[in-house]
Amino acid sequence: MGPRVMPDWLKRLGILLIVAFLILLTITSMVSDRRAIADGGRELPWWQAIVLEVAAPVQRVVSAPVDGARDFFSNYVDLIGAKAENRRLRRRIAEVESENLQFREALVTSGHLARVASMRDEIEIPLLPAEVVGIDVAPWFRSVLVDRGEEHGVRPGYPVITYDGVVGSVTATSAHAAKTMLILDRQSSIDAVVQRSRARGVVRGVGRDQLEFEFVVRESDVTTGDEIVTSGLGGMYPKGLRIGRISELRDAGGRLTKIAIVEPAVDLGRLEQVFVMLRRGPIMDLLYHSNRLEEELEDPIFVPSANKDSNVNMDEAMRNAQNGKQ
Amino acid sequence: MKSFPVLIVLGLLALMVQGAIARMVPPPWCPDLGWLVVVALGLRWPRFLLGALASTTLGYGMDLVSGSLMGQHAFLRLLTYLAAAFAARQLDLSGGIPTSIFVFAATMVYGVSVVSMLSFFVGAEGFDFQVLSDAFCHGLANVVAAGPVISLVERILVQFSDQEVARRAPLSMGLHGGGFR
Repeated sequence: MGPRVMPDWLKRLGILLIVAFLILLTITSMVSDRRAIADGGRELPWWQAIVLEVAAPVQRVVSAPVDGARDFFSNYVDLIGAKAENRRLRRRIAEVESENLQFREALVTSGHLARVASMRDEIEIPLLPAEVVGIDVAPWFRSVLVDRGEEHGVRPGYPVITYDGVVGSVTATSAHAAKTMLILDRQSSIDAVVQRSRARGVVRGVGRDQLEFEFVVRESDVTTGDEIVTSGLGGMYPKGLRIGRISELRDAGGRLTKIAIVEPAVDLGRLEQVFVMLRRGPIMDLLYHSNRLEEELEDPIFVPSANKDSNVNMDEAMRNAQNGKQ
Repeated sequence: MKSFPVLIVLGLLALMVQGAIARMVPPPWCPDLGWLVVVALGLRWPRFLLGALASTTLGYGMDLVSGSLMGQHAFLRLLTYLAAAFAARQLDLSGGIPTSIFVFAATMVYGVSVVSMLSFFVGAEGFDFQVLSDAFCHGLANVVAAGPVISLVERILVQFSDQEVARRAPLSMGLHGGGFR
């Protein structure tokens, strides 16, 4: 008596069921991930976090020789003409310092400087330096991997910036690494304003090296060369961070909206060092969480004591927030 | 069965190497080595179910280091594997030119699918001429890298597999003899 052989139809059915299960599993993952991202990102479960934990150092090691060679070449190229550039920049610094002095003088005389300084104390946000250790390997997405994670206080939804402007936001974290979606990614959209005219719109990533700023045509004063900054609405980015500069205006095809092409302020193709904004300042917490109980906030609201007037204003703002909530 | 973990490791290594290449060349010109491993599995590995499992696993690995929705690459890589396995069992894809045509066409479909899925799930902008042109460039890069990757997978299969890699003969769906393969 030979070994029992499974009938062909049963094998085919088994294969079909397993493949169908795999397809269903991946679709379910996508749907649940979409929900998590809509809620501000996700802290990865341990079995997924392991991959990020391993990927970050490995990417750093694998990329080291490539980065070294690239840096050597770019440093060499940069050296050419550095002397003339240096002379030009020194002259420019002198001009800017002189201008700056005049502006400061004007601010001091008008009493604005003290108010600006106290405001800065209130909204100051701790910045965590992080190194970009890997970039997205798929050409259809724009994200980077940074070497700071939950253990450093990084959480999904935190903004990532450089000195030049907005880079993106954290979408997933493990203990020592975080995945950051760049503003160039197709999934990215930021509520923004034109710095000069305060015209509002939405900056969207389109998967290329440029962004699109969609704004309502009526009463909008938008021209080429305008700076686009974050509006502070939307709950993710603080107000006033630079996004980029308008390089071209296009007709979106509709009567109501127009599209402007925006050159990002940050060179997102050559990111090395970034800063994660660890938490929002007290004023922003009040604004963003005004419909939540104070006790629900992660950190107690801190009212700075440097400026008496600002304390009064903060107390009033807190009372208003509480009243609004009730 | 020995070849399964080896191929998974190869696929993950391919992702790391791809990460290093991505720092040197602009995105569409960086070949998707991890995806090519999946294509090679579909074209050359006779163990259908293990191939499907390996493709899904590698897809999830890609999802973790990419900005995609979790499961998006896994889903598309599984479909790529199924398409490659089906094509290899119906057509003669052993030669360089047929394989290149398949890789190029599959890359185009993959690119358009990724963008369409984003449009469906996230409401991102749909595919336009730029997407097609990126997919075209990416397809060319993948065609160039396909030869070495498929050869490497073949070598591993010959080295670790208990059966010959059926390069020219149409592959079975793993239904004959000895239960599931």
